Amino acid sequence: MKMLEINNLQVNYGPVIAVKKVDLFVNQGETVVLLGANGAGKSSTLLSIAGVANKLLGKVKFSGKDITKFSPEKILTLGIATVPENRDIFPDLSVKENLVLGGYINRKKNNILQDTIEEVYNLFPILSERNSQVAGTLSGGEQQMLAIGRALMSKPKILLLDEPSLGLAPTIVEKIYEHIEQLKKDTNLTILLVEQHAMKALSIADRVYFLRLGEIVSSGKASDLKEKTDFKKIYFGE
Amino acid sequence: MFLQYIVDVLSLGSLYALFALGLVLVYGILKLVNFAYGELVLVIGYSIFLLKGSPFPWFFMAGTAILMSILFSIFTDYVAFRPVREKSVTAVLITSFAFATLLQNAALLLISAKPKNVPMPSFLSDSVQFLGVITPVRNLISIFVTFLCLIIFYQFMKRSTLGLAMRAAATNFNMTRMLGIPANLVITSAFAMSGLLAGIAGTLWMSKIANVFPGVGLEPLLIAFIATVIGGMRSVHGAVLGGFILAFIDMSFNYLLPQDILKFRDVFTFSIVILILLIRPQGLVKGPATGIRT
Amino acid sequence: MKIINNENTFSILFFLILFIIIYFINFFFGSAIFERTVTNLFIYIILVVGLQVFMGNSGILSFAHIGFMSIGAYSSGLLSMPIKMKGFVLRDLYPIFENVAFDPILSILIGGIFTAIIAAILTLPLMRLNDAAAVISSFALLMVIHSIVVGWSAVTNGPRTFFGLPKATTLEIALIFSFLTVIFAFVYKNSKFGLLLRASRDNDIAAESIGANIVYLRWFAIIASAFLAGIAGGLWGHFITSFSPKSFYLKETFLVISMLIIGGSFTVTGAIAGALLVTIGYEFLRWTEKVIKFSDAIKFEFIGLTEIVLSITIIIFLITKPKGLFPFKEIGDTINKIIKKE
Repeated sequence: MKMLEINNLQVNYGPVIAVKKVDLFVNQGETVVLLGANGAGKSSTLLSIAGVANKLLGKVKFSGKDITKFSPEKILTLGIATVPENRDIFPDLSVKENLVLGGYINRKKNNILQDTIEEVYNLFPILSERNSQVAGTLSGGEQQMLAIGRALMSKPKILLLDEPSLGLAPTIVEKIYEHIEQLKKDTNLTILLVEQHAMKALSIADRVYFLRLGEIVSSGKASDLKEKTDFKKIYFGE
Repeated sequence: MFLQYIVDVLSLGSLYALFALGLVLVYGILKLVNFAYGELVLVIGYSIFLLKGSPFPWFFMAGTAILMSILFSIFTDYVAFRPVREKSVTAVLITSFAFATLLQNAALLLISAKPKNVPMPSFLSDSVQFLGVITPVRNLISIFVTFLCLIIFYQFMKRSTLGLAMRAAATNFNMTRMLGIPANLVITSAFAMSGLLAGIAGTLWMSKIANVFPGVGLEPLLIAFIATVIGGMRSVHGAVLGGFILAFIDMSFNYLLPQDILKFRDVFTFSIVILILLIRPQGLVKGPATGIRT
Repeated sequence: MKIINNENTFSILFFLILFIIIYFINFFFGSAIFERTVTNLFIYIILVVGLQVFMGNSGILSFAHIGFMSIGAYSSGLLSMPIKMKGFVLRDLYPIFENVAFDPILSILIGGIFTAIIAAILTLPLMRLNDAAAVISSFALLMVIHSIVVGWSAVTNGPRTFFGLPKATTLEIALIFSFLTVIFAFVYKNSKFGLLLRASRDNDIAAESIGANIVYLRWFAIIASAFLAGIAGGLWGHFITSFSPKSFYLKETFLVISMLIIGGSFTVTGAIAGALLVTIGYEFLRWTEKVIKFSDAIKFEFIGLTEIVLSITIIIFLITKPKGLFPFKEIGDTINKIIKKE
């Protein structure tokens, strides 16, 4: 069943139309990657699913339910967790406090909260080490892990990841993607991943969409694409 | 002599600090100035006045008044903030200003323009003497109550989930919502706490001036304002610090300056405000990092 | 864009005709109360349009405007007050002023210029502030001016009433000054200064790239604005002949800002419309208060009713029409369109 479905999406910021027309879907258990250059409209697409972007037109459906007009809070409770482009961790709160906030919807069920924190620490051991450290002092890679860990705290059905490689050194990016792969193995979590960094993203993807200037220009199975090298053309539009 | 001075500054500063804290709570999360904040003191004063002569003990009257302050604070959000929050910063300034005017004139209309006496337990005005210091009981109570409030407040913000959520919201409101934390809950809580703090400070204020009149809220508003600008508009510690600094300035002026210069005290304090806005607009204590990397 | 273009000309002509109509209504049908109201209206138009010149073009809310009005009122009063009155009202007045008494209109003009000079000195450093800081500093400025006026008893009689001004402001004088203000506002709005300032209001980086020096543009606007406020203050002072610092504080600030917001701060038409509507509403409500009081119909004094209604109105306006009644187009633009269609 299609877990997430976007039809005819159009997003604007004032007079600027960031997303002209996007149609895509994500099946349960899949990892779908949205690729595109800067300004293609990738982040706007994700943010519109999360409920914070200004949707002019279009529909977003989750498990068949129309969530287009839902508030960000409601969307999280439905099981859609977002890791935004800037990570947006709370720099003055500790690692643990960030995670606790991520698990807000489970706050009343204390044992679930504790268990989930343990799971996140298992996935990202470095966070356990730094658990009482103020998040603003973590390195870029650590912040990224914290952001992902925090999103996992709500036990989401689908994870939206916006450019996890942004601003990070190649070795760190490696590590992050290793963690994501581990996550997929352990939990079979559905993932919608947005990236500029094509190669890494393709290595964990089931399907790929290419976004250029606000529109989907191509899509297909990742396995098919890995063979072709002309995806560069689609990416940059030469 | 010096000890007397310290006690005076601390007792005045504790009052100022509470006022400033209440104002900064709302500003920190919403980035909006609440011009109707001072009117919570009006609510306190008139509530106690209206309950005068009732069979209830004074504590009950004060408690009810503080409850009214909380309710009116939340009400301010619904009337002046929520409808125009998205529109513009200027709009909120004006709507809260209008709401403040509304409350003042409602008091004028429904009660009276004349100052009304607000009954306070007499023991509050009794003097206490120790180590060469003479001070009314209420001053010591001010210091004690403020101390207690600050501890409780600090613990609450640090340890409770709601406190955590409010601190997060002050840093990055959108992200907080994306974690499933209801925006309305956070905002209403901020206004409620603001109302509580203003209510406690207002009760202490009333014990000082023993009188309520429609314009009573102006001075507390200005105090909160100035203290927050000096101390830091985005920092809870800054607001408290600002309150004590302002009390220090005011007390020092009272002690040191001759009467004919003293009447220009406000010129000095507001000039400091302007200077700080020019030189260090974030105030003395920097607020939380915004968490956004450029 | 030419300074005197079609839209501008139509707007100015429209208001000329409107003002003349009002004048003649008063001439033929007006009572003393009506004439008072209309004179007050023209003075308030100067005040609100003056505020519009700064706020509308720069986009910055300024709380200091009434403070400038007070400087104009007191300084012009000081100059024009008959010598005998001076000895009586201002016991500690400095010798230099004791024996002078100028023509009231001259005093008003000097008062306006003096206000402009004070504004120039006090506001220059503030013009580089933005948003909340700019607004708070303007509020602080109002407080500073108020405090000085209250404290400097030698020239202001302190918190007590400042009286003895000659009643020099007639309806005609108020009308003329008002009309000149309107012309100025339109000319300024479409001048290079006004255009560049408005460009910076919408996008300061872009504006700077075309050579706009935002600080100086704002400074010039606030000096002009303060001059007009000072003139309005002088005219008002010589109309009402006595006042105190209480007349130039938060209530009046709220009133002036309400007029501008309701009418629309981006247009001169808005400023005038706001002044007109609020004055009419205000007078009507005051009249209602009096009628109820005198008719003994309801044993209840409705003091404060006016302010309550005004507060509620302004909140409703900000929710429903945040940019005011005339958000973008001047009346001249509308007239121009109508004519073009025909």
